[in-house]
Amino acid sequence: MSNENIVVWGAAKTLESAGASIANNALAAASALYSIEADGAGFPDGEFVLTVNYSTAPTDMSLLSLYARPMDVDGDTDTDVPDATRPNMFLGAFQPDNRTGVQTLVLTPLGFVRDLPRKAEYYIHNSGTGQAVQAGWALKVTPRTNKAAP
Amino acid sequence: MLTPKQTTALAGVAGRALTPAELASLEPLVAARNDVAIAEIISAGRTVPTPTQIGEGTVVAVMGERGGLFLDAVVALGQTDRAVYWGMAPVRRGVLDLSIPAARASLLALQAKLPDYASEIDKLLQVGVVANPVDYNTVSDALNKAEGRMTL
Repeated sequence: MSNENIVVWGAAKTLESAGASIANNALAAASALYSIEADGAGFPDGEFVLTVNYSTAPTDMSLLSLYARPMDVDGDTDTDVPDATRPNMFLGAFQPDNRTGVQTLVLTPLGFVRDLPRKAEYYIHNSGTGQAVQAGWALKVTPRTNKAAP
Repeated sequence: MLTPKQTTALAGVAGRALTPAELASLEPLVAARNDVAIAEIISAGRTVPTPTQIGEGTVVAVMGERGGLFLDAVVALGQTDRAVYWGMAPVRRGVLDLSIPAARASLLALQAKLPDYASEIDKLLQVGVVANPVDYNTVSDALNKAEGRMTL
């Protein structure tokens, strides 16, 4: 058998390794951009992993949302940063557990995003967890794509 | 130490000035941005009357043995006070809505006119009153703006 549709992954890129505290309902940008061409070997999809620490347990069933801010969309012109009147590009959400301590979270519902922007800045929105994400949060993305099996 | 902007933001959400004791309790919570706990503190004592229609039966149920005497006193007062006389009409029909400000104002006015029943009237005013806590997301939004954070 050959030519089956299989999934392959590239090398993960750390978009943020030690983010500042994110208060409830506040938004924080990851420090590094992600480019499909420069960082993802052209792989169009990405698996995001968020590592957070809560000193007080967050509210159950609340979310940490992932937004993208596409960059260089018209020459070197960027889109606006997400704000109250224009959240920009919502990609998915991480669902923290109702407990304290470090949590390693994958994106829901699928764990990855198809067809990421060509180049983008990524944001985490503390969407109603009720507690501040402690400083030191990290966000990584692993390039992913499908290809025919050899 | 809370900044003036943080203090103003929290007072705005609470709808009242915060006491020194409350501010002292809030200080570490704001530093940690434990917005759930902050909301609980500033929600203390916040209540709101919900639509609740009462009649003579409720008066008797709430006031107990004094209920009948109170109703008699109101009826007697109504012989000389037309506001009280007509105010009893919805009570007789069981449709006096305690969530309407005018209805509450009329009961408060009765406290002055019938001081012997002031405490019973207070009990009556508590019928249908429920806690009105501040949502922690409202606290978050106010603090995020006060702190100049990027927020949705």
